[in-house]
Amino acid sequence: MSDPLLKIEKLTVALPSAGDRVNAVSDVSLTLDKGEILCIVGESGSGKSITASTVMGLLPSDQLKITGGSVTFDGIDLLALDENGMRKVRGARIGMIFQEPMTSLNPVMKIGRQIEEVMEAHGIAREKRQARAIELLQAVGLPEPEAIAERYPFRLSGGQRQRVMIAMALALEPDMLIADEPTTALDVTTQAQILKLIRDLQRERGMGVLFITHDFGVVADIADRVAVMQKGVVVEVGPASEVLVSPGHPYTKSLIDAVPGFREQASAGSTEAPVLKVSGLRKVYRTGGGLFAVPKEFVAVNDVSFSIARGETLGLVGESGSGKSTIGQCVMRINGIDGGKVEFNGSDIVNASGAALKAYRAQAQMVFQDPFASLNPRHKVGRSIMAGPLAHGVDTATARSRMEQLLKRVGLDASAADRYPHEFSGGQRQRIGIARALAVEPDLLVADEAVSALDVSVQAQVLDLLREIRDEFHLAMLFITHDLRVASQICDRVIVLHRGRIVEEGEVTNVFGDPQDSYTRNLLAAVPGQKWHRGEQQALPA
Amino acid sequence: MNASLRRFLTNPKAVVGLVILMLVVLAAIFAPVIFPRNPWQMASRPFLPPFQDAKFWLGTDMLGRDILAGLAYGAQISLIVGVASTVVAVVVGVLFGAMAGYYGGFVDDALMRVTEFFQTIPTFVFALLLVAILSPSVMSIIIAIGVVSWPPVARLVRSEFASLRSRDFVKAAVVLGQSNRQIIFSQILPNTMSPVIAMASLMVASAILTEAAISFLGLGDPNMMSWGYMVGAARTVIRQAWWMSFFPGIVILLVVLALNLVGEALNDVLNPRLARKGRQ
Amino acid sequence: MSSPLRAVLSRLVKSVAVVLAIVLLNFLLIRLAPGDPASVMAGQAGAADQQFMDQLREQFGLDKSIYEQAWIYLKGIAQGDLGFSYRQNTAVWQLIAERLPATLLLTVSAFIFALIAGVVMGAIAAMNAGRSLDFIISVVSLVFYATPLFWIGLMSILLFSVYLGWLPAFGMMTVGAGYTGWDHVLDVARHLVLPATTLGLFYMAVYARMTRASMLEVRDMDFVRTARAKGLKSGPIVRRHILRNAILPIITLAGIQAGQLVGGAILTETVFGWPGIGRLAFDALLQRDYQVLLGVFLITSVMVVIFNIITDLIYRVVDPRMGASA
Repeated sequence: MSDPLLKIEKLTVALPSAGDRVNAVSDVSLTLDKGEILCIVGESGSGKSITASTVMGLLPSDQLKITGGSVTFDGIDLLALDENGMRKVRGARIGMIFQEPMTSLNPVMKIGRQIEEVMEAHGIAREKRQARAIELLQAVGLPEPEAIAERYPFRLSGGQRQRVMIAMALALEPDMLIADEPTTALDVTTQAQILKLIRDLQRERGMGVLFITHDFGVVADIADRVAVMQKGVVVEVGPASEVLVSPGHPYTKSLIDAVPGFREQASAGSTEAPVLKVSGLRKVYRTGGGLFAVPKEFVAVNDVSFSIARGETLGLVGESGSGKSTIGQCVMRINGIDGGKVEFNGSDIVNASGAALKAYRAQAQMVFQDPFASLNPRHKVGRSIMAGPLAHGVDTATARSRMEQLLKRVGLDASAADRYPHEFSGGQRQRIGIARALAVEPDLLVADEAVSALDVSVQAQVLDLLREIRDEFHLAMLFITHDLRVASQICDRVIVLHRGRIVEEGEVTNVFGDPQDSYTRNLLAAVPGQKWHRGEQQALPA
Repeated sequence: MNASLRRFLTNPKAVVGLVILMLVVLAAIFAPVIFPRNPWQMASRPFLPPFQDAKFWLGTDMLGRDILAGLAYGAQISLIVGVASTVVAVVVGVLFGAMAGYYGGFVDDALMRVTEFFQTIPTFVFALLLVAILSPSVMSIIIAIGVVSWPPVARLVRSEFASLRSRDFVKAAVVLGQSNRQIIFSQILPNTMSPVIAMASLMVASAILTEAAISFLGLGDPNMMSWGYMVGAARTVIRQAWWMSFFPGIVILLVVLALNLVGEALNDVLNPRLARKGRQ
Repeated sequence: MSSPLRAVLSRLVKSVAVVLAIVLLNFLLIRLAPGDPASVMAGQAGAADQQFMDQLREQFGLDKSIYEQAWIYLKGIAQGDLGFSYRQNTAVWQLIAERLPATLLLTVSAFIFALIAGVVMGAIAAMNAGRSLDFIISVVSLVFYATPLFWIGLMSILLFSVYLGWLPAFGMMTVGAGYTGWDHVLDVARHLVLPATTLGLFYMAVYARMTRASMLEVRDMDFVRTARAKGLKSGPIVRRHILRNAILPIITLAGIQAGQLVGGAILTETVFGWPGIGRLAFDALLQRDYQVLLGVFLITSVMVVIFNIITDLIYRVVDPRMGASA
């Protein structure tokens, strides 16, 4: 058998001192053949992206140092190359695409020019470049390539920009493509399209692809082989079909178990009278008004109605721009509304002010998406949790004891109260956020993408916690998410939103099991790893 | 805070800056003790060059006044004007910026138009006009410099407020039912203070420069000796007595440099993210 | 209306509003001054006799209501009447018009010098961040940032005129030499070197520090990593990707700082006896000739407004995103 295209042997990359770990990556050995897709999968901090950057020679050399091992690409020792030698490999023989399509393109350079730059850097004659750039834009499925080539990046959507990145990476027909979480920042339907594009191009050109991801669904859809990384070490490598179905390493197994799938069993639901009633909700954003400009209007939410009872979880699902988060903010009175009604226990919320609004603030609470932004960095955790009760006139001693109880309830030590947010992990902060919301003893909890920023294993734990507290405190819960699998796990009923409108609603297993609307069907079809999920369920004993 | 303080005090920029500032503050405080004679009075023969008479190290001016004494007394007005006008500017700027950034919409528009207006007019010319019209005194100089230097603070605080306003922890405070006052002062303001403090130390520096320039043009407080006045008075005799303008200028340079060093060190310590970028 | 045109129009309307506000501020400043506005306008030290004062009272309607006074003042300005200097017995507008070209020559040369030198220094420092060249440039720009402009002027006279005798220290041309043609241009240029450099050094330091910081920030951005992944050489990466984006905040800053540049011109012209409006303002300051001071304030403000419009237009050309968001 011939040598592999890429051979990483015993690669070790040291972290700057004072970390809790010595190496970002230690003793990693991997191979990639021509025409093969190897997925490196792992949670944040596993070293998967650092491994990819090392191959490309893009490590920030002032922070991370390679202390051992070798990387051989098509017989070339990449680590031994000088900057100029490496430069000739980059773009020409190895292409790379990144996670953030929104920021990965130069904002002040035309798309066509950015693609031509790769060819210019590797000595393709000027006359050929333009035609080739158009050809590439066409190959990655962009409409009107001539027009796109003349545009600046800000006119393109995230998915389109990622296609441009792919066009750029493939401009010189490289032997290998490195894709570092290329679909993580994209909506699920866009993700499905980009995954298909990468797979098609890879087959067509026989490239080797090193694909970095945290999502086992994506792995199932695209990988030939999988390497699972944990804390800088490869714990398991093997064909995707084996690793996903019968994982050998306990860590792999725990990760796969934590991946949410679609629930089969219908939920019992709640028979109580609704506490929150939203009818005909409409929200319009106006931007760019001025002396000589008519403000542009964007209807974020259009004629949305729903209600939630205590003990029930209603899911709002949709892609970015669907209006799901806006609805949550309208319900919480963070945003005003432009039409419709929001009623809580029969009283109007939209026009509530003074004491009525304050009373509502004690009854409806919210858990936010970003665990790093949702706690005041300058307040100790205890103070953050007590702020709510204190604002509502609870005395300090009661607030303190409630805070301590809640910290324990969400699985943290009472000593956490005297520490600052930066001392906690993302999952712990999310627990603190939940404790803060519960401290005012609400009836309604709005969770806005509350688990989206968390690693999959932590995500499962926080979902369990939310489910438990909903039952324990008998809460009505509005659960906003872009992830259909997560929604299926925790919601009783679900509403599917598209461009501010409700396209479908109903009991969660009905909606996801037998979707009636074509948009819902598209959305469901785009969820990665479905065949694998189904196969897995068949494999399980009935 | 303790760790930050230690990092600040071990920062070489901070050490150099603080040592210079300490000397200047001591000179300002003890000027009447070290140089009991009124700095406006004749002390020795006119145009005494420096380093010739041990009693008048830095020489004398055209009226025989002691340059070194003038420098010590000049420190007083520089420090008073620098600090007081910065306090004025920071208070106005924080107030404007906080309101604009927090409330947004119409309030923001109105306040920012005012801020832009004050940023458009030539600040130094405006300050001169104010001092001339209010008649020169320490007070009018402080007011004039304060009035022209608050816009950058307002812009900084506004952008910090606007960005923090949309942060989840502020939304959480709204949802928890905290009052606007509580949110502004306890949630947001403390998070904007580090850049404001760093900016304030740079503003003291530029206020000292502006005061010196105003005095240089002859609009200083006629009752107080000032570095700018000394350079201004020396302007016409520069060919005969280089030292008359040289030493006051050097002192201004050192003090302003020291304040800038302290400001940069504060930035390094208080805004580590930006500073790290700077150092890479 | 197309969006760039609309943007320019709204910018112009805004500028007119700013100029109007400055005129009103001017009007208020006269009233703010202690004492009788007429005597203030005539020059505090009493240059004018009773007849002048009465004439002034009538001309400005000082016996009428404050609104009418404001209207009269505004009308006067709109007709190009900036008032009359009783000290110099000349219309303020004429005094300013005679000296404006000299100030423009000085400030524009200083600005161009500051911008080019500052951006180049900042870029070199950023590209050598952490090395000794960066340290040297940072120290040099910090020192010039901290040095009083008028003192640099005096010291450069001392060094380059008095001791070395290389360059003239005073005025805009050699008095009585009667140069014509190229000789005249050269003569003015020789006189320009010291004042323009003096005025420019501070701003050079400002731009150098700003460019360095901005480039270091852009250097860590995702699209620069993309450029490296494409296999670009470091030259094009720095020029097309880093510098091209880092320059954007500098343009904004340059617009904001135009006002300070004019302020600096007062000091520079005073030190070097440069016959511009700064020198005029200094003389007016000594004589408390408020009419002239206010006129200079108004004209320099209008200059800043014009400069802001220019930088705004440049920004629109340089940043493609601007056209669309408006």
